[in-house]
Amino acid sequence: MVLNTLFWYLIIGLAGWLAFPLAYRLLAFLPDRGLALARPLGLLLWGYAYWLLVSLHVLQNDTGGVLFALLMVGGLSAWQLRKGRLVELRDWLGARRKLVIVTELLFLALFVLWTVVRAADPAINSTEKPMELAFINSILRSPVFPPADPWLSGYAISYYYFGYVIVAALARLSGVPGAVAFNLALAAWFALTGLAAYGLVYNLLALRNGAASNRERGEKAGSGETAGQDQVENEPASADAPLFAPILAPLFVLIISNLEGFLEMLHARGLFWQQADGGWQSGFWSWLNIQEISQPPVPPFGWAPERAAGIWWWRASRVLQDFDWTGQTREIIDEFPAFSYLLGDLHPHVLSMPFVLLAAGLALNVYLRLTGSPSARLDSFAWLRSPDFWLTAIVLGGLSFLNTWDFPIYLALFAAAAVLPQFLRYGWRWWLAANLLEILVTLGLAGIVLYLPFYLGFASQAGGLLPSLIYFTRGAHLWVMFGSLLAPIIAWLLWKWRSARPAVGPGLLFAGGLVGGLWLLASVYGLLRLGSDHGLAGIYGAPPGAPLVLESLTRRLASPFGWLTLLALLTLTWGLLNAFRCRSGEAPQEEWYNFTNAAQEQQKSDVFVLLLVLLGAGLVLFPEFFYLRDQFGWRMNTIFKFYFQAWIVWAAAAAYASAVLWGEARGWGQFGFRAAWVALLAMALVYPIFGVWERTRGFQPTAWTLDGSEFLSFTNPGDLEAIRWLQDAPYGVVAEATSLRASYNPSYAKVATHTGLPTVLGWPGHESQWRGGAREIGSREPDIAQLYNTRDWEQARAILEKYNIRYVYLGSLERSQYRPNIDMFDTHLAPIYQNGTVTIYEVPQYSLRAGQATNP
Amino acid sequence: MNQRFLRTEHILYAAALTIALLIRLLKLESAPFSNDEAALALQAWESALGKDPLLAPHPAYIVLTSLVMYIFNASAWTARFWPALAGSLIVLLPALFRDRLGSLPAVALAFFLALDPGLLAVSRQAGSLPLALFFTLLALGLWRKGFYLPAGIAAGMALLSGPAFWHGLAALGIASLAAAYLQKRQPRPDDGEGLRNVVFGLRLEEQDRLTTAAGSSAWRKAIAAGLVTVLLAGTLFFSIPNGLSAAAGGLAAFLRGWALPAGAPTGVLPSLLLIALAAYALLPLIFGLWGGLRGLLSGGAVDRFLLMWFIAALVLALVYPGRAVSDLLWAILPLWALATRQGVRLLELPGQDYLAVLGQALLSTIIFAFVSLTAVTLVNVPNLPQQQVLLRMAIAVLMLAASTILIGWGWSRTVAVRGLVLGLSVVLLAYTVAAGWDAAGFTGKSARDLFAGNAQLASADLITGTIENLDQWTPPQTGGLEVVVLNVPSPALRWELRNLQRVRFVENLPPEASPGIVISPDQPELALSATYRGQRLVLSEQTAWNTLNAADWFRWMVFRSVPAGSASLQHIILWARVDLFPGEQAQSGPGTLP
Repeated sequence: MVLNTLFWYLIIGLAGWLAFPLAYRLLAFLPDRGLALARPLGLLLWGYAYWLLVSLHVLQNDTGGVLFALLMVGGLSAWQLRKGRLVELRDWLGARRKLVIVTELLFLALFVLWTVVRAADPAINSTEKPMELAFINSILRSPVFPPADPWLSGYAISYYYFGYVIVAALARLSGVPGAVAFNLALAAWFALTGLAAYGLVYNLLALRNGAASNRERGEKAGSGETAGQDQVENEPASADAPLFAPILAPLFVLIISNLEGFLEMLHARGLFWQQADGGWQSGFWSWLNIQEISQPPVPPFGWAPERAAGIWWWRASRVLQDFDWTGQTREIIDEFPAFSYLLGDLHPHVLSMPFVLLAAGLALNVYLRLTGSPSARLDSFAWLRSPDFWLTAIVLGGLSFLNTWDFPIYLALFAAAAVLPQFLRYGWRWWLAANLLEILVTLGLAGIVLYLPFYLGFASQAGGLLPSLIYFTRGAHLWVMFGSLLAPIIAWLLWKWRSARPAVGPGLLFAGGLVGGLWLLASVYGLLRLGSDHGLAGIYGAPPGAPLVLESLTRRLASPFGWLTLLALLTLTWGLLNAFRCRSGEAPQEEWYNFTNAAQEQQKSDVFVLLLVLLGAGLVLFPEFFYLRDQFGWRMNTIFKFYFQAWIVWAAAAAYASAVLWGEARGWGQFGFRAAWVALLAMALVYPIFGVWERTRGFQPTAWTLDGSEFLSFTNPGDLEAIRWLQDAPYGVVAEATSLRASYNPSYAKVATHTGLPTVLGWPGHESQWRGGAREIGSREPDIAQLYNTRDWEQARAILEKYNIRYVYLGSLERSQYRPNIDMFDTHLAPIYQNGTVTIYEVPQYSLRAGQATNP
Repeated sequence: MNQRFLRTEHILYAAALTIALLIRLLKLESAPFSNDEAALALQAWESALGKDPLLAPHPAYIVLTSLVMYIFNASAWTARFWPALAGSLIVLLPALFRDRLGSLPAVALAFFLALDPGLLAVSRQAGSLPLALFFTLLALGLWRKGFYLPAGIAAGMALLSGPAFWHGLAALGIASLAAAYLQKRQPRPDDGEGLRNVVFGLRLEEQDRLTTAAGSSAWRKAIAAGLVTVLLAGTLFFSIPNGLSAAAGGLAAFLRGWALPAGAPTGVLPSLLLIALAAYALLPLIFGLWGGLRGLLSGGAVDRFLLMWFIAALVLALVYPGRAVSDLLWAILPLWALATRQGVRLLELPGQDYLAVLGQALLSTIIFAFVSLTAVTLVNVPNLPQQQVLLRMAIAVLMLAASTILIGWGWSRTVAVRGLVLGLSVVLLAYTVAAGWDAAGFTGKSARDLFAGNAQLASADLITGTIENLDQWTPPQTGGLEVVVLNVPSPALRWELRNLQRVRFVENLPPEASPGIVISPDQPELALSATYRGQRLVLSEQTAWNTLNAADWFRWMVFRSVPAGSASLQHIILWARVDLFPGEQAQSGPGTLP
């Protein structure tokens, strides 16, 4: 275990340092030159080269292929170091030894911390963990790319699986099996995310603190001394950069949680509950109306959250509820990073986290680059000729392959950051929209073209946009969900507001226009859709012809706290942004690149943070009025996807706001802020502390291991033994038990999951989600039932041939679910593996494919 | 150095190359294939046929061999051609280092490399090691000479030569560091060329060149040439693109050898490597260590580096968990270089006394030969009067000692010692040549050779002959004889049967199937539905080296024979359907063994 962990640490470090020269170039305007973002960049470029070249059949899907791809990244970096840049890089690193040491130690500490947590709770036996393990194992076993769908033989994976490719590459190179890689990946991604968040906020704070140094350099730039070396202009002196304050970023992004955990503690303590009518009642908990904790706690009361029949820490990811026409609740997923890591699902939204922060770093870089350039304009067509454009496109395009909805979100952030300097200098002009569109189109298209093999085999379940007429987020739930982030952000906004004293009008106009516009748009769209789509009302649980638009208006007006919060946040944010723009009147603000105004230079960080706050507000606001049509019909996944990203950008903003206020607020404001901040932090840390304690059983697990398959040795030792045997067996389709209700049941598809061999049908519900329907599934479920139940060998043989089955697995599940004709299998097939509970038959290739000589 | 000498030198190198080519290419197809050889040869063949096999991490061998097979078809000769050629061309490489080794030692080294048993053995097998040796040393030599572009090409080819290249590179790297460290600690007046000059034999001015603009250009040229070579040669001009994976796979395979999972079979025992070193490289071992120690004490940079190289390569081979006997070649090469330098020093005959030296050498040769042969007889012939034989040997040794003392007293001590050494050299050289002859497989004892790969196919002719005979009796309208190889995962067998039209390799066979011939493992429980006649054959043979005792080892060193119980045999059964035999009818019932 220790050796595996060490290998992963070293390989990820190697990927990062190999890519650092590229980051040094690509992120040249960041004070840390991409040092903290080099690891995500290295992994992404490595994974991209590996995936693309194996998909094009240039590389083999083996260790050599993985290593070759890594060496390619190293080669690109080496190329970058020509012409004396190696010396420059060495000198740069030499001057920032402390930063190097802090980033390395931070990564190591986070990696070790979460490795220990995973080692105490490694089992891959719940939620969607089996699916994720199946993808990793399938990528490791597939002879070619696109990798085989492990749960639907004969098809390639139809999912955004790039993260699993990167995990598989790490597993392959380190030589660890998929089930160990799963847990190491969680720890590694925890550390990568923390480090990337640190890097983003470090750069923002360093810019702020390095104002004086910049001004000096700006003067030099003005005198032409450093003409042509614009990347140097924005570099603050390393001594000015705060090294420890940015640690707030990993704290806010990864560990700080929503306030549901704190509420769980209050609930467990029995606070706000009174005994009445022979039972417990509480106006507060009823008003809050969060499932489970709206019910009375079970005495004796204590401070530790607990749930007699259930998992208390699960509820934090289900704070929100939607209510349909009849008042029935609809489940909404509102995951946040601490929950995701505590849950331990290696889902795409987790896997994409370091890379979205890398994308945010790219956005900050382009924003800084353009604020320092005379034209402040990004000519994306001219930029096409630069390698930087293509590297940026690889990063942003990769987000689609990692977690599809992240692509438009961070593409928009990048484009907004690229036009923001022009907006600040010239105010709103229509050509800004054209420039924005130009950037979106060129980068968007390049991002798609670079990942074309993925799109060719991908079928999305998304079926367009639906108006969210009666589904919306209650204000109380919004504050429980985001309060730990919104409080420091709003405190900072108010603090800035006080010093900047902007006019309220523009902010209010913008916020009102946006909220009102979306509200109106959703209503009009809803009316139009209701007229043509008669099934739409049913989605809301309403009868046909129900006055849904009117009901939407009534409900929202009756519960205004949520949209009013967003309205206020947008007003504050836009008001400030506008104030920065308007400081020198209507004339173009040349100071933005002349560095003559120290206050404005400091505001460069503030402006970018405002952009992050705006993006987060947009991500929370949008699903108030629209959501994506999928198999579920309500906002469950839309909220999940949008809120998760909102958490990341708001967490970065909250970390920055906290650091600034902690250091710069003065007088009673300082005292008040610090006291409130500590109290808030304590509330937000209740969840991760108690959660980790519970998940790890107080760090006293039954066994310390990173092997996620190890649990089978307790529950199904025979299966585990057979699976271990199949892990080394030749590649082929395996037949095992399946069921239409197999989803989320780790007993189903376990052979495919733990071996990477494709099975005929795994979890049908998931397959239909991934493929937007059940057409590909066809009659697989009854066919497998017939294979096991039939007494007629010809029938069985036809099924074996139809699905090209090589192995027939006969374990305890197959014996209990079907009535297998063992004599038939014994007669016609060869039992190639047997233990007390499992027999594996191999279908003779001879009988199925007669006449095919195997000689070349 | 005059033109005449240069011409002579060229002729000598040509002679060494001719010898090397002759003994490497002669009867190249005679030895049976091992599974390792066959696995690589099959991949090369499949690549030649335009298939897309999963390539092992030996792209240089596979790609080059596929080219030859594409032109000349697949055969044992074409499968072994490139290693044999590379193993032959190695003899020319000393010429690239003659300014450091000395002209005469370099020429002598060429001949010794031509005859070295280990190098000869691996050069006559399908594999990457000779390519790795040749291209690595060629790249170093060309770089030293200032031919940066060809050096880059050679380095690219070396990079494509699989894990053996990384093994050699690691040894060279460690040796360079060790030599630099020693030089730093013990600077000698004659080491004025700088610390790094011992590394790969680069001179001071050559090193300077590397750090200047011109050096930068040289690096660029070499790296560009290397990358283009990897890209073009590694993929055979893009026709085998996955050769690139295989190129990186060499490094991965080398690293994986360090981290063999618990329970995985490791390589041969370290003691076997030491035995192999003594058995195949006794001559260079004695003179090489002598020369190396001399270099270490006198501070000679070249000898010291060669000694470090030998030690590093040997230690690396010993500690590497996935070790193989052939890894020793990276140690034997510098050992030969040391030995030839030391040998030439010893052969610098003192003025008028060469006749005395030759006389002493002749006497020494005779006595050493007598002692050796007597010792062999003692071990090999039972029931000999041991005391008498030992007495004879002792007398012979005493005679040699007496003659040495007398010559040393009568002429000079130098004459006596050099004559003794020369005599010993002649005997050891004869032994080396004999060992090389065996290792080359000319005596049909390749299975008893430590440098031979894993289990070699033993009954190839019998298997193919039987199938061909039965095929002749099969009516042509049936489409030819169908052969099924059932659960015999032997690449060597697959290679032997590669030309059959209807052959399949399966893991199991349904009861109703009745192919003409079934080749199965030697499992008595196997029952076939039709009536078959079976013949038990030896599929492969491998020597269980760990069962040999000291006397067995001695016998093996001389005769390349091992006790009958030390050979591990894998049997198969070749089943033929009864109706294939003239006059027989197919009948139901289990198969029978005659």
